[in-house]
Amino acid sequence: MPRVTVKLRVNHEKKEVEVDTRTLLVDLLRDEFMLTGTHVGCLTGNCGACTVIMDDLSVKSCTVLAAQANEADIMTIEGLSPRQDGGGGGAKLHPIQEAFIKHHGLQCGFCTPGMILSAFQLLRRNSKPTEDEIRVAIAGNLCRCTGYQNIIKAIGAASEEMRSRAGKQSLS
Amino acid sequence: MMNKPFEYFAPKSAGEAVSLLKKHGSSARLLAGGQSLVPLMNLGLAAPRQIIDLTRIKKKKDPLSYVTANNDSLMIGSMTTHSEVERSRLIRKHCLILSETAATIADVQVRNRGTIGGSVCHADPAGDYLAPLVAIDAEFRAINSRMKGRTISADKFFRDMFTTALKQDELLTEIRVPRQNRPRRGSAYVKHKYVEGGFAIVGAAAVVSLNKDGSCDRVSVVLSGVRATPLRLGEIEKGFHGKSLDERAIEEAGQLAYEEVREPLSDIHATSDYRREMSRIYTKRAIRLAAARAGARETKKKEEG
Repeated sequence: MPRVTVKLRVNHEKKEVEVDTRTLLVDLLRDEFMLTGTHVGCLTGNCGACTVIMDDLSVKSCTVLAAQANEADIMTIEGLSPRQDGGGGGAKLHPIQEAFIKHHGLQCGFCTPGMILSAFQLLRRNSKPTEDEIRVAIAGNLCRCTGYQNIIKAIGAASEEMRSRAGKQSLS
Repeated sequence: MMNKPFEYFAPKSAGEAVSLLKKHGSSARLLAGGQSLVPLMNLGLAAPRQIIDLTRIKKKKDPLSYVTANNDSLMIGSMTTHSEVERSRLIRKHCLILSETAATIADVQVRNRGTIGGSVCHADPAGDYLAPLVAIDAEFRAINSRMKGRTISADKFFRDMFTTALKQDELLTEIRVPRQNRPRRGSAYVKHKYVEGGFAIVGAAAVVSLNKDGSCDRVSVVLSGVRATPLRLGEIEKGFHGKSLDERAIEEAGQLAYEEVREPLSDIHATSDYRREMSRIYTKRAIRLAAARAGARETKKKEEG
């Protein structure tokens, strides 16, 4: 079976592995790096459960070959709350994660990592999104429990919280 | 995991990519953004023996991802993503219909990765770019394995379902579109979809040019999703020169669309009859919006289509 070497950064850590060329980025993250926060739903780019941030852009990692992530910088849900040393998986949650808990933006939780990373992508481009903009931003993430309303509330609340924190930082 | 193993190549230049294509023949596939090909491989519907990944081509040295302009046209590199087409200031200013089209494709993650070149080469009959590119008379630049270039007009590019005019050793490098922001010209793309970000059940692209007195100089309408290839509605193109594009004329154009779209595609999302009826509605909506953008006075937006 043809194999390929992939060198990349995942949640700020350098990694190098050799995998079957058929390996998808989502399989690389889950099976090689044990980062099982990235979920596998449909394998057709529809459900968004496998969403990760690749070179600053949200992508569906079931539609990316692991080989294509060579030299890429990947952030998964585990890397959203960075540790002091720059690695991922810190104890403190990101404001988007806190808002999802506070506003009941999840039930079963299967879609949540992808949903949060889509929100992360949105808030990086647009710190003050309208409700319509939030809806467009999560159009690629399917949730079968919540009916989306609380997810939209959570993302709105996260954007307010993040703006208020940024404001405090710039004042101090 | 996918059933069939494949060899993976990451050429650093377009030239290297076409020589790999030549070497491996029809068992090889070019991989652009992968938003169609990788899902098809996951489903077992495509099983190339060699994958030639265009995303590794060096952006600075040998770019396939860019947007530039000259006096008449915009030049869009084939590896430009839908997100880039959606956001490009040049495209928004000079060819709004393309940005508008890109924004309707799938969702943010797919638009971040999928490319305009990959999308047109995949030539899905319900692909969003097809109708607008034909309507604005786009041209496609390709190179072959001897690095010889040629230009193919959009009218001749789409040959059949999932089939383009590109030869086996050819690579699409650039899409050229005439600048659209001229006085008294307006264009629009509207689509009927079964879910947010879904493929076009019917996609209608209209380009309207008005005369100085406000009468219609030219109106062209091209539909995606109804036939194997984009359908240019010739009767509408002939019918409105010198006439006023008022509501009655737009109603008439809708009827012409309905008559010209005989036995359109039928699938799980829409029957043939339904697609035909939607062709009427979306043709009218596209013309109405394009005419309003061209500055026509008597085009009031009606909710019922």
